[in-house]
Amino acid sequence: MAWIYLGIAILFEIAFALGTNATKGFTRLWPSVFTLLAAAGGIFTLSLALRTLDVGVGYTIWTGVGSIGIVLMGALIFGEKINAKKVLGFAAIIAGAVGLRLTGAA
Amino acid sequence: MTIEQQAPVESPAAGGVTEKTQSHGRAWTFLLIAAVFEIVFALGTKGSEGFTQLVPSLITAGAAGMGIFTLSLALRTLDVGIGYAVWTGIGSVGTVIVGSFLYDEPITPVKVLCFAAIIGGVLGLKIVSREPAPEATAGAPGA
Repeated sequence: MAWIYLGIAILFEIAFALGTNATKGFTRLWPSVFTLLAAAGGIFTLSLALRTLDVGVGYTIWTGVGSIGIVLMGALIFGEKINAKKVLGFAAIIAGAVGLRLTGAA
Repeated sequence: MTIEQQAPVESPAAGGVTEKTQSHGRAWTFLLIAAVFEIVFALGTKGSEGFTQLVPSLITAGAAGMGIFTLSLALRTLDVGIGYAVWTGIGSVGTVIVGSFLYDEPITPVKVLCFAAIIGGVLGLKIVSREPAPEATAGAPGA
């Protein structure tokens, strides 16, 4: 069940980031409402997942998988370009963040 | 953000490029501010002890709100994929560094390696994200 909550939390986090992008600096009402609800939903379901899962593991997967989903959905929905150099940059950041979290540091 | 000026590449189509460059620099400034709020948020969450301490809880909530707001300002110009990755990446590095001062945690070689990967990735994305993005020229506000 914790893994299902974590999956839902990741979907909320992706929705949150895409929503933030659509708010244009929180000048648009409905994207802003959507974004705040997604942020709250994500934190809540993450907290449910973390009742069972280890914080380091849960957090790592949450933002790591979230980052990948956000890159992919950004390309699909907003037409953002993905190329080999960007993939390298994303991979380095995600690997570094995963490494930090797994050492129990972040 | 004076680093912006170093770019040796663009000579043709100068007008548009200059304007986009400035707006791009501002966006990265907002993104760094958002990452700082993210660091305050992460450390504040720890300090609020499950949101049982009033003042740390208020600081944490305020930092979360400001972090999301400044992220949204950065995303007016930057791709959400890049913005989010950099936001959480710098947030992680900063949280570990500041946390190690606050809570006396050692900075191990593995952590330094992770810092290097994240910072390398961030700088790489910063360079790569300057390459032409046709949509950005029209809309970019507040340059």
